[in-house]
Amino acid sequence: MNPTILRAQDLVKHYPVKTTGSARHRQVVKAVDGVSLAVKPGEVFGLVGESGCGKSTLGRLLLYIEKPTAGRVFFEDDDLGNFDRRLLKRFRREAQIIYQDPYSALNPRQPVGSIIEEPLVIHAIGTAAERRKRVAELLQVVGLRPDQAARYPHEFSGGQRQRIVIARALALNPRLILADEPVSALDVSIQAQVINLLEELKDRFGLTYIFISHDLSVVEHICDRVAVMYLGRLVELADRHFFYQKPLHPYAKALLSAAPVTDPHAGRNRQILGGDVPSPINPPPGCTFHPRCPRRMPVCSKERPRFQEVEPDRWVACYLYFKPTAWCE
Amino acid sequence: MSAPILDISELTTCFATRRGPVTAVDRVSLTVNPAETLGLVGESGCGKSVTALSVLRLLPKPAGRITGGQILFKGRDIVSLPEAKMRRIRGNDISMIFQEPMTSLNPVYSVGFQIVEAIRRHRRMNRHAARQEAVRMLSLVGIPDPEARVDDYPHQLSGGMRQRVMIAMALSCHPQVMIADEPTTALDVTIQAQILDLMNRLKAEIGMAMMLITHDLGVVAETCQRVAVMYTGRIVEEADVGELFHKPAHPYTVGLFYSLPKRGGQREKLKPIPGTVPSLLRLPPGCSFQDRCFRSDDQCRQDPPWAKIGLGHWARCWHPVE
Amino acid sequence: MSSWGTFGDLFRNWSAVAGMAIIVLILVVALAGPFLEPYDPLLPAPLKRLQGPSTDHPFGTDSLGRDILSRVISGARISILIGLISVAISLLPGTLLGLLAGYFGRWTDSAIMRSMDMLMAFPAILLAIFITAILEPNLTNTMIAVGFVYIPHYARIVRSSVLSLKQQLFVQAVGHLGGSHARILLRHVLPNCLPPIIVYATLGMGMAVLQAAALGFLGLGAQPPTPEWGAMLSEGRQYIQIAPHVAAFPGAAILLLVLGFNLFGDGLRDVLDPSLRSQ
Repeated sequence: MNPTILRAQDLVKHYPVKTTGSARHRQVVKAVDGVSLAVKPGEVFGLVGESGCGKSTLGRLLLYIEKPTAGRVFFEDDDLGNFDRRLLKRFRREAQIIYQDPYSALNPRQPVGSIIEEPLVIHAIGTAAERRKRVAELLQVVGLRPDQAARYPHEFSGGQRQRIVIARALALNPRLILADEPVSALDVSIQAQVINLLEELKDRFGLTYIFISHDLSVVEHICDRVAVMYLGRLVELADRHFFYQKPLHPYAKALLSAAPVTDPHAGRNRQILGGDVPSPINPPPGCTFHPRCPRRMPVCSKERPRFQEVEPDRWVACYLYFKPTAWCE
Repeated sequence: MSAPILDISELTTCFATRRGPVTAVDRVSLTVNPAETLGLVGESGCGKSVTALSVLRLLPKPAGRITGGQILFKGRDIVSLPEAKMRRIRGNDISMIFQEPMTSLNPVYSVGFQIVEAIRRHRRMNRHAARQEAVRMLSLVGIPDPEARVDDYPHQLSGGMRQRVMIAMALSCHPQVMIADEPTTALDVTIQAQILDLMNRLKAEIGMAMMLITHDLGVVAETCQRVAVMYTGRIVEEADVGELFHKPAHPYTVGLFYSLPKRGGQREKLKPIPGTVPSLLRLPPGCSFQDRCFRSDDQCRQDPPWAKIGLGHWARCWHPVE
Repeated sequence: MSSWGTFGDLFRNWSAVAGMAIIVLILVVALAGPFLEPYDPLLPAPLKRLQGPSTDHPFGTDSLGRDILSRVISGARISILIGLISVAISLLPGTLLGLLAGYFGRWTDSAIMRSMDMLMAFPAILLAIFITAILEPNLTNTMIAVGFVYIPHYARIVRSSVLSLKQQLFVQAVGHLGGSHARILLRHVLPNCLPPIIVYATLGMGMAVLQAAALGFLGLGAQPPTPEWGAMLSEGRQYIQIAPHVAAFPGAAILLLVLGFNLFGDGLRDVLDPSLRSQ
């Protein structure tokens, strides 16, 4: 078995900003600014960060829904950049997406059976009768009833719609699923139902998940490894246990301590991070986090720290843990 | 112990919909004491926002109406107050902040203008003095460089800043009660921490009472002294915050806690509450939670009584969890 | 239950019902025309010129002695045809252009919408006159001209719907599943664009009838002796002082039909929008 199912190498995605002035001052949004990672088959790979950090963009790049400005993505050993339209279409059968908003992810004018069946139709799989059977199977797998296939999305609750989204994603028997904030729009009790469902499906079908979320508790619960993003760059990647017990990067520490804990008597030694997240159009030089970092050193504003493995399978981009390449004071 | 500053008893609010009348708030009783934060917790559709809107009489007309109960603010019933008098209370004595700061702020006016507008509505001040006050409020809520920011427009500010502006507007007339409806839900975690910290500090400095509406139990743990849990328009449990988190008694509250992934825990499978919230048009008789409850029986088809669980701790249940 | 709202909603909306009643009435008159006409609408009877309304001729006679009632009834067919065909001529290319402009964006969008802007810059009536002047003035060309004039309106409406639909996850999802652009456009974008198109088309029929009447009034539309209401209005203009009924009845017929379309269109718009949101 291949040690990695998906690998990203120095991914970059820049978007031009529409300027109303002269073209000389063309600015770019550096949504993803040099990310490398590898996802192991069968794992749940968590990607956390706050709004504007680029995690959703990174997700889209990993599945090659958008082409990177630079860098490469490998699915098993194939460079997705070399895939033509036909091969990319074939790749879509292997990697699917579950979305954040169950209300806009389903066509309101399409009955849910047809929604779930559509991927099969697009890839010309099976006869009409076989597809209908598969739709019934999938509905049951996600905890709905096959006789609901003729209903329309508005007849279902948010949690049920998310199950339909999941059923559609499973229709092609993918190996990899990108879950982009799959439970963020759901109520707490429904979140728990969907999280359990996702775990069951993973075990049953041997899936690999890339799980994007801003909710650290959910990520801690379901993910095997956690990667933290800040302004388009990865700042830390570690096994879940080690990450939650002892985060290394100052931003990761702040994130973990900022998340409210459901214990009124918990110690209040919270690290409140000052300032706002800067804009990805003009990120600070060097380490993008240095203006808000309580442990910053002079070198942090000069040279960008590399994302390095400082312990086995523990990566950080911070000079607290290794020396910069050129000694500048 | 001083009298509660806000005393809601048996409040009932109905909406007229095409499919019939819906009771969004069903005989809700709550008290908010001075300098205290009451958390109102529940999932979407439970009626917590409608409760807040009812207090401020901001229900959409003609569909929404308060059909019963009373709301005593400093001893005076404000349900039957004429609109002109209510307007003097709104924003002045009782103010409110909402979830989405972008849609609560008018995009075509500067934030300073909007704060000044709020100030001059209720306090006698000339424009110059009001502007100074607005700058002072912005600095109070932790906005850096307030002299410059006061002329900014909402779109020039980040989400966290906008929410601070909302808080500044709400505080500008020194209200005695602030109602905050999901004030940090739309914000990033690190910004949420800043705002919650700010709200706690301000409350301590000003001595203001607060009703905090949220679905996030973590936020409740960080900010509230007392908590009430709502389900389908009814309060199902009420307690001091420590009591509620360590000894939840109503099966719904218990279910909510079991649904939360725990931090620093072993990977236990979550135990979600089965089923979904019933439609307000088709509630079962008696306890509305019975069809999803692991402790329900035939007796639950009758309206459950308030069971005393401990000091200041009540649950509306026939079979509260020990 | 369908996704379009129920028919019950439509019948509960007074505007839609009133509009439908008028349209159905005129439709029935149009279809049953030949059987309802008491006289031959084209046959002149010089001895009975310009007679006022009477029991023999409830709408009176025109300058050639023809029965106006029969001509109005006969004209109903023509007006409804004008409405349908003109709208079809606007709607089909307009929708296609709007879909392409909105979906593909950038150069396609600019090219298409700038040409639409140029077309819209001409006052509708001027453009219609221009077209009928180039081709010969007759009824068919009137319909083509009026249809052509409204193409940009449909393009704009559809483009605007497409732009907001592009943001919807379900549209993006089809691409993520491997679907082609054609599939996305035809099976997902287009059906969701339909409500504004339907509403505009209904109102557009009224507008088409008015435009055709205006052209007819100017002598550019249907040519005599065709009993098109606008042409009849034009003919009656000369006799306004002495025989106002010659213009009044065709004018009233135009008003009634356009009113019917407008009422129905307004009611339809109300029904199609909020009922979807309330689900």
